[in-house]
Amino acid sequence: MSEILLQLQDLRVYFSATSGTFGKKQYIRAVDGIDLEVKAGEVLGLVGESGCGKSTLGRAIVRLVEALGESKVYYRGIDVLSFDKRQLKEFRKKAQMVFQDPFGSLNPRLTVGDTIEEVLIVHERSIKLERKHKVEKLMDAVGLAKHFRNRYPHELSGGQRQRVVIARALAIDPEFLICDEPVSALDVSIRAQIINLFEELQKRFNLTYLFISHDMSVVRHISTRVAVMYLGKIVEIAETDTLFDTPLHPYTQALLEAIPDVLEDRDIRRRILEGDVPSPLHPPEGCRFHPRCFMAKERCSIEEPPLIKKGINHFVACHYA
Amino acid sequence: MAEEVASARIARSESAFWHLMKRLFRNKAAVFGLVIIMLMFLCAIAAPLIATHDYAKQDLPSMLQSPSRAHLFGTDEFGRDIFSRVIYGSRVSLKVGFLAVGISLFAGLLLGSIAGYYGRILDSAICALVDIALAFPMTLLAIAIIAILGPGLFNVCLAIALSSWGSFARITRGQFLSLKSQEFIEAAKILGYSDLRIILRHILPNSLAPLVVLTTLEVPKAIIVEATLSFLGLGIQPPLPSWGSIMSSGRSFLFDAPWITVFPGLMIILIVMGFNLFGDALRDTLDPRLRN
Ligand SMILES: Nc1ncnc2c1ncn2[C@@H]1O[C@H](COP(=O)(O)OP(=O)(O)O)[C@@H](O)[C@H]1O
Ligand code: SF4
Ligand SMILES: [Mg+2]
Repeated sequence: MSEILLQLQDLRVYFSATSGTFGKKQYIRAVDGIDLEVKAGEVLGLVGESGCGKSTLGRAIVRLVEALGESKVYYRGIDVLSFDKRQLKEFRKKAQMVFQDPFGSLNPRLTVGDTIEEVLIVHERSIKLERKHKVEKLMDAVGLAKHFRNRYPHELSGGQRQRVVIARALAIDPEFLICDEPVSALDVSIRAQIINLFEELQKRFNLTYLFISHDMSVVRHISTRVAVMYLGKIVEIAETDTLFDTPLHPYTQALLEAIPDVLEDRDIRRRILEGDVPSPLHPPEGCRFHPRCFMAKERCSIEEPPLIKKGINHFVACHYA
Repeated sequence: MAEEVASARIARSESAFWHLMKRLFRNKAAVFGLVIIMLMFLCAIAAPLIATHDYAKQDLPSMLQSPSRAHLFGTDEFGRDIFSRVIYGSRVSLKVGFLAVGISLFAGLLLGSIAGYYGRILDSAICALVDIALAFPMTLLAIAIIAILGPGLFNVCLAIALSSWGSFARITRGQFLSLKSQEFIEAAKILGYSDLRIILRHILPNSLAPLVVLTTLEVPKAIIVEATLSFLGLGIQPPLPSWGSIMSSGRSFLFDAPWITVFPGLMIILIVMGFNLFGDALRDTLDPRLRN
């Protein structure tokens, strides 16, 4: 068993949504009680429809948003949520994040070289020449030719920009990378290149990924384990092959149905997801998936199913799985 | 690589700047405004060369003369040459205009940044101050402040700044609020950059366009307030010539010697028009969304 790098216990992030000055105080329960472990060296895929709280989960880990009081985030056994400013800075040298929109992630007024070099200026005591070499090495590692050094973000394509973002994150020499839909905004034609780059870098620098995506085929390709999220909760988690071969949760089954080529030759009734995701302001009682679930019975609207073990490393939250 | 070919077609950033300049200079009003502004600067810098007389020298025998070859804009009740006084007056107007707006800009940037970046109670407090500062009419507030501080060039600037920093603070805060949630700012936070670095290197440089526009539109306002204060005797003190004080001294001779008031008045109209034309055009070119 490899070491546990990151451990989440009952992680909750609520955003307040008050309507009007005297309106009733309401909460968007973006992340609503998540227990999750990330092992050193693995690529844990996190899938779910847009709006289910994937980004919020990632952002809460690096403390871009504040988690609720009882939530716990342990990194190598140390409580991240109790860090002061200095400890947080140290922690962020280990855990970095790559965002979805590669254009928005870069300061439009800084060149590629300056963007990467700034990380070194802030975190290392090195002279200019050393930094220059390191910038070149990083650019090389992400497949950017030297002459891009003096280019501005608006002169780059989406794929090139995402390479810069990756190089910047690597400049800090992290061990854990949260990738928040890093290829969703890219042209389909270059997605594969960037995915391959992520894979290559993971092996080369011995990285651990939390790889967030709403695209099942991307997650299948890159992950060793996959967690499926629905309305702020994990509904199923298993090793990649297990999850794709024998999905147990009706929601996972429906997600897999939606991708062409998967499950095609199998004798599973087509379960198209109907209706919209309910609002995280008022998640349904009982099992949050019951209004859309083809298997739902009376019990489902009353009692919330816990995440329980159904096989080797396979956990599911469904009464009838 | 297809990616490289695609990016080669996108304009380089210098050429984006020149593109902007080209669009600006295709606008006739902008060019006209800029020419006026440059002529005013020329007057101020080369005043000793342009002026035909000593601006402070009294020559009682030739008092209240109408414009002539010897005195292009005529003379005042002490026989001083109005043309020379008006030329030197451009120094006062420009000095006050830029110094006052400089102080406003600095104070507005500082307080607006703090409000926008840190939010919460600091934001509420600063916003309340801004609302108070902007609620007073600029001239009235400036008069009240001069009454406390006393007249003089620097106090006039301070008085104007105290009543106009609010606009700068408000715009800066707005820029910060919209930039703060952008991913490159969040990325900077996760990368462990200090607040000061994030503000100075990542947010401010991306907030400049509307501030530049506001500056060019606030300078003429400051010039008018200075002229008003000087007209009321609360501003620049004699013998230093300010357009406002020259006009004030011509008040009693409005019918006998209208040139004393007319020429400095024309200069005020001209300089204010120059800045406004240029500022409006700049705003339209930089950010059409700011048009109201
Ligand atoms: N800063 C925020 N303030 C208020 N609501 C937010 C904020 N960020 C996210 N949300 C809400 O939280 C829910 C989850 O969002 P998000 O984590 O971005 O989902 P995903 O990444 O899976 O698409 C959504 O309903 C979204 O509107
Ligand atoms: S608990 Fe019920 S509603 Fe929820 S997924 Fe299972 S069958 Fe469907
Ligand atoms: Mg997201």
